[in-house]
Amino acid sequence: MLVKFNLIDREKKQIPMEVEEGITIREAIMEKLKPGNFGLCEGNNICATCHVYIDKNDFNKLKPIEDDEKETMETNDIDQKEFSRLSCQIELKQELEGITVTMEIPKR
Amino acid sequence: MRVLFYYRGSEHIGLESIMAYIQSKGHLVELIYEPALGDNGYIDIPWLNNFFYNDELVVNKALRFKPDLICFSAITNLYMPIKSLARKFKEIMPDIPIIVGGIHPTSLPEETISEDFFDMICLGEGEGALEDLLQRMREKRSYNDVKNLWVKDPSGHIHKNVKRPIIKPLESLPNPDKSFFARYGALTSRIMIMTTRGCPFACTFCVNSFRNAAYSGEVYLRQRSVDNVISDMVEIKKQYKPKKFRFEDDVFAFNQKWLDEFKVAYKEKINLPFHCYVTPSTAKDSILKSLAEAGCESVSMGIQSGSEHIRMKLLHRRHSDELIIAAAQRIKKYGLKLQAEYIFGFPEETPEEMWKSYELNDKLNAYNTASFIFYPYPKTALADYSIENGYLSKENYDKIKDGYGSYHTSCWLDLPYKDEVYKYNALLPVWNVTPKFLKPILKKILKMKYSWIHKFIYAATFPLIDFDEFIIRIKEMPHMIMQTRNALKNDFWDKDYQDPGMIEVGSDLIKKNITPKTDNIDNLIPASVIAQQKLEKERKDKRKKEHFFHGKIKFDMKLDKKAN
Repeated sequence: MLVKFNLIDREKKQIPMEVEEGITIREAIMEKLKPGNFGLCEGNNICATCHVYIDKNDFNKLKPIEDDEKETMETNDIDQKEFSRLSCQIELKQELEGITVTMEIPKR
Repeated sequence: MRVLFYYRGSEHIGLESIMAYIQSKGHLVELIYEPALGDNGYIDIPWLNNFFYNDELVVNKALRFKPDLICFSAITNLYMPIKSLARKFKEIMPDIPIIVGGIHPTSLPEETISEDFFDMICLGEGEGALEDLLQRMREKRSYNDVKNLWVKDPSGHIHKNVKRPIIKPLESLPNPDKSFFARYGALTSRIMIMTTRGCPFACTFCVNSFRNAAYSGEVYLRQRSVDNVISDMVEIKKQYKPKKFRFEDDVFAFNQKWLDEFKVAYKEKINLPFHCYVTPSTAKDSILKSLAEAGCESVSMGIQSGSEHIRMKLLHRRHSDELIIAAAQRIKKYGLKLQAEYIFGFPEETPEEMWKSYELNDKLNAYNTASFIFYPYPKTALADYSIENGYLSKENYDKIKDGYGSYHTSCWLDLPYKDEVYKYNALLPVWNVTPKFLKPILKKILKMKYSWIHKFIYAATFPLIDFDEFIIRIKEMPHMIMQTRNALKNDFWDKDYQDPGMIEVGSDLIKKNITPKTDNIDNLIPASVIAQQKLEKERKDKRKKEHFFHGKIKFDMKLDKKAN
């Protein structure tokens, strides 16, 4: 099964994404865009370089954030906001169809 | 092909990997190794250095080996002696191409390739690039377009080739071959091993900050499979009988799933105490528990600064004091010894902030501490920041690019509190082990004008940085010195070696004969080089007399300048 979602990349360009259900948003972004300095810990929830913002209308569709993810965001140098999540922790499922995800513009 | 590697420093796992790989492709590989003591910056004891370095032995061994290619690997702090030896090799063996790889040419390619004696540089991983290069040499084809290499052609034009993809998976490589370094006595009873390449973090003072950026679109961090690591370690255990292992990965334990698999296999097949690195953010309960269950004895954790301002603003490490203290408590809870690491002399750092490192350390209950002086490695974000904000002069940056000084001895930034940097750096290890009631005395010494007393304490506290390691090194050093000498004098390569690749490509492509026509090696060395060697020997003898009983410990830039 395929899942569609909207991605806003670092250049603020809208990119329609269509990927296999079950992969994470980080994997989907890596596969399609191959951005630099992104997902450096390979999805192990320690570096926060795969940080994204979820559209506020979609945020509640996601599984609640776990303490580990919260701690990783707090201890890494990212611009954390209300609707921040780590894309390595979000598995794409049918219920996430159509969500909008914005990549953080890295500071360096 | 006959491939000669030269390395100066301590055991180098990256080089062991390259040598194993090249050897697996049918090439004859030899290593010339010298342990770096003085020029790696801990201390400069000229008479002791004479035991370690002997260019004549090095040059003679190189000539006996008759290489087709000479390979150097350079980190910035050891670039100077490597340059000097590469120059010498070029004078003696002008027809033999010389290539240098490692983090120094990778970060400063333009500067490195501009040296007359380097024909090529390798940027990034060397296995694939060297394989292609040697195959082209075998076939007498041009190697100007080998990926990852910058190649200087006879006209002086530099071919700057694109980089190749990173090696993935790491299990596709043979296990690093430790036998080359073992011959020189470079392996202690605590053997080093690496399971990863790269680091997921981008701390601004570290080369990983620019390496990750250079591999845009690829994840540079890779980890070997548990099976691959364990089978390597089983062989190492059988062959070298270590008492402990030391995982040198920048961040060893970051993947819980991997670690869970590892701890079972390690306990079953290796079962020796080990040391590894963690960070305040990766020292989570579950990770530390697994490490302890696997047999981990101690961990190093980089704190870097006691000032949150420095950590967050300058280092891009968002570790609060609370997080660091909690991580240290967890480390203790699982019975692991903590080595806390600090750096002094960051731009903007005040003595008050340096003192905060002492205060924070008091709360960590560390088994020991290691302290360093900030060294602005070329191309790192913090080096750029130091330049942009007037902390690092062009003159000093040029010296760093040439490999002068080290993170043990040299504060290169123009700071108003330079003496404080040396003092705080010198006294932290002893502060860590000083009983509370004696600390006021040490605090008074810290407030005194920088003088011999701080230098003396610094020298006297080497054992405190890592006592176990110190004892191991002291015990094993005489053996290592003898083995290094013997390895330089003796030849270990296969005397009947014939390149299987050469035979394959046909006799008409047999390489140009660059074999010396005489066995008398002295006759091969140009008079100018012999004269230079003589001059160096005289200089060394003079220094030996000057420092007969005690070495001169380099602390400040004036001494650095004199020495250089």
